[in-house]
Amino acid sequence: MTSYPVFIIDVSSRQPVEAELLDTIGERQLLDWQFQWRRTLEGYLRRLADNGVTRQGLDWPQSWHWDWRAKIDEVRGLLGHTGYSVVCRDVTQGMMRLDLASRMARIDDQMGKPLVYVDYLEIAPWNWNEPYADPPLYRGIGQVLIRTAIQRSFDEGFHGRVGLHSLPQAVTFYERCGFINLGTNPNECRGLLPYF
Amino acid sequence: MTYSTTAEWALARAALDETSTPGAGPLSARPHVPGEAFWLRGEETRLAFARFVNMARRQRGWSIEKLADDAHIEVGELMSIEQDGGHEPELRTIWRLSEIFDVSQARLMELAGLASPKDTHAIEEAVRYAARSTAITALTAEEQAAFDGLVSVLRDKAK
Repeated sequence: MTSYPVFIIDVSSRQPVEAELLDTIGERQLLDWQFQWRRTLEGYLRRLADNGVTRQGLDWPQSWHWDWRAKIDEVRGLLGHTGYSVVCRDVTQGMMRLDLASRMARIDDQMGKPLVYVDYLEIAPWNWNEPYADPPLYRGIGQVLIRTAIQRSFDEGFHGRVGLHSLPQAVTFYERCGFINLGTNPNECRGLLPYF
Repeated sequence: MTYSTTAEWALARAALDETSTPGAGPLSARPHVPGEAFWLRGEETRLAFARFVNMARRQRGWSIEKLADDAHIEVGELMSIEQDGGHEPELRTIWRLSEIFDVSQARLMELAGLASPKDTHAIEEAVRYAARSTAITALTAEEQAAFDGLVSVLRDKAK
């Protein structure tokens, strides 16, 4: 495992703090995810319920909220996949899994060329910038991870090409990063997640 | 991989995160607000509840029928509880089970997904124990006999 020194921003002090980029999603990350992330998420969901946000009209996978073991096994990795995580103050702040083998570019002038596909990217719930959530603790984790994906793409000889399906709440993030929004496809991600 | 960034880069780029939360891939999906929330972990805790009822019954060496008789619960309700993770037990059933197995009614209701957990740690622990309890040993002689009987019936039916 290799660790790269990186910086993320402590939101309360607005100052950069040292963090580590690890080229793995290890057992430690999965435990942080299963217990610490979920606890914060639970508090957030309670707050939503307290604010009258109700249960109908779910638009994410039903298995998401309980089948953590399957989710862990899936993130743990497949051949041709690699994982990265950002750790700060001994807690996992964000994770990403890359598919280096099976995806091709879709924009016209690069059609069919290999790219690095981000098949999973998530940051810890205490870093979310969402209605009803507490202000995030850290910012800039997504930036570190996306830069990692781009760097990895260069290393693989893919000239920095990166593709991903964005969560609805992350669309402006990727647009600001300079990604091109190719819209949703009814045959992918239940037609809910736009491809960049 | 070569990778190096500076504190200045982090400061400049983090400004891009200010109004949204990064996330990609269906595995990272989460509630989209304003949208709708749900009650977390209903199915997960209910599976643990099913596991608890199953083990508590077997520990006492009872059949489902015996437990149903003693606790005045419908046999069908008990079978659904033990075998159907989607089944929502009746309040009365929880009360009977908590009496007969001598456990907290409130805790059991939380585990069955009928009340929101006050102590999420306890419920999390219960779920972990339940997951750990999933049988990895071979069938007992009685289980094997019952299983053989079941298989023979199914084979007869298939003809």
